[in-house]
Amino acid sequence: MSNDAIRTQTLQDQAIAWVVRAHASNMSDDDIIALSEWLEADPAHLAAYDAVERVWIGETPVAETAEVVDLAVARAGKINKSSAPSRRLWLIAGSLAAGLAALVLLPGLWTAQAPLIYETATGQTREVALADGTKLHLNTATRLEVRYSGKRRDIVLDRGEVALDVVHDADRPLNVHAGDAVLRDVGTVFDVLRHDGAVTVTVRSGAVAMLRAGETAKVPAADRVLHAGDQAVIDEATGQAQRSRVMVGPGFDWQRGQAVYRNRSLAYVVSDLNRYFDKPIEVDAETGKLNVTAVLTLDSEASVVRHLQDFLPVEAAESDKAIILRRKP
Amino acid sequence: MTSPLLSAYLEKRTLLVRYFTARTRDAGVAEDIVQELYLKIAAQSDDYTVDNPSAFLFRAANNIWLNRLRGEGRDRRRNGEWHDSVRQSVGEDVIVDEPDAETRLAARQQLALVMKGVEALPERTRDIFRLHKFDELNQAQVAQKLGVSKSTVEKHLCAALKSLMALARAGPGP
Repeated sequence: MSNDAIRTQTLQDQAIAWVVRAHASNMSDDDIIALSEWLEADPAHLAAYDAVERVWIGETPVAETAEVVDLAVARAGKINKSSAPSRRLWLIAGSLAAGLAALVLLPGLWTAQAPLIYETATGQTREVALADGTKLHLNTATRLEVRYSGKRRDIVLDRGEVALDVVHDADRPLNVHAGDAVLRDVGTVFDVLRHDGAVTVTVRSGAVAMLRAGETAKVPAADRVLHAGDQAVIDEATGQAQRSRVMVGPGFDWQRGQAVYRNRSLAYVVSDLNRYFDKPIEVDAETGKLNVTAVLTLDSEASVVRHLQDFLPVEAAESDKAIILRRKP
Repeated sequence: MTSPLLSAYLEKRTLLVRYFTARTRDAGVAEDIVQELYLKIAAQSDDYTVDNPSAFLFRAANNIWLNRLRGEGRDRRRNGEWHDSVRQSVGEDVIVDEPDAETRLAARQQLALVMKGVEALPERTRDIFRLHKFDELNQAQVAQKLGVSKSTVEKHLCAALKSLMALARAGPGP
């Protein structure tokens, strides 16, 4: 059936034709455009398409379908609000900053056991196996302290980034302290980055609870728990956490020697890259606004800078102290 | 340094964002889906190729979206219990992200009910629907197996889906 022929049918028949077409393995560019136009043309189109597609993938039990279809058509234009997952922003209850004093007091709660300090220099990574079987992988320019006692396990991330593969022990929780943010594992592989005024937590498996310093919640609220594929960026100044879903493969990007940026400003990218290199990359405010979506292999600063020039309308000039990126005239 | 699939992605990106914006009525969700696709592609080696990148990218992105659609319903049914949607396997599966076994089982149980409803259909329509939905052949494979054109398969599937929608509207039978 041609795309024009589809348009002459009843609304539901059009939706059916489009759903079957979209679920074939050979959608052409023209098909995608035609379907987009059809969906954009009228909220009722989308409502009908949504109802039919849910039946097609077996998501709507047949007994419910009549209701759903009627509801969808009746509420055309509103349905997507209720059915589409929207981007979520969480505010951590109470301010993380409010717990400022707690971290200072915290060492007093620990036993006298001397902390173990692990550090990496710029450009280095380091793997550490702790006595309980927990593995730490330190990324570039990182410093952390490990403080274990009989009752608890605490890791204080002073700066940098660490990926943790935690051996869970319900009686002896493991907490990562990054400023006032406390991340408590619930049997987990996760990554914590402390950089540029923010704590970024990415969970690969299991779950991590976001607490604030001094908090002793036994059962954290559901909206404070991060699961596999969740990422939260916690602003250290305000304590606000912004959550998103990310694709986490078998390892974190940096563990494969890569940096992956999706829709980031060049200023952000440069700040992040500078964690890895001794000679800083600099951009002016205007050039820093360029949008970057890129996968960079962190082999050498020279090749990273070369790739940035491939992706973006920028040119690099190197001085003794820095590599300066400027927008091409 | 850019793989053929990644080049195709960069070329088709706008097209995909437009479709998913139209489909979800939420530009943010559309961006999320298309970015998730990007990360899956970026994780592949440079020599990873597919026959028809445009269709492949649409299918892969659509599966990301459909898994979200499924997850939403499943989460509701499970009273909020979380489901691991991050899957780790190799080859095309990683990118295409076909539904997991549990989702497929639920879908098949659902389809068992559905098949009762399509029994009244002409034999040819029923067979094609069964091959596609139960035996999980794609539309091109069904066409090849039965020696008919792809548009014939498409027409029969539309007829099956139409009767399904009509059945659904009439409510469950006696």
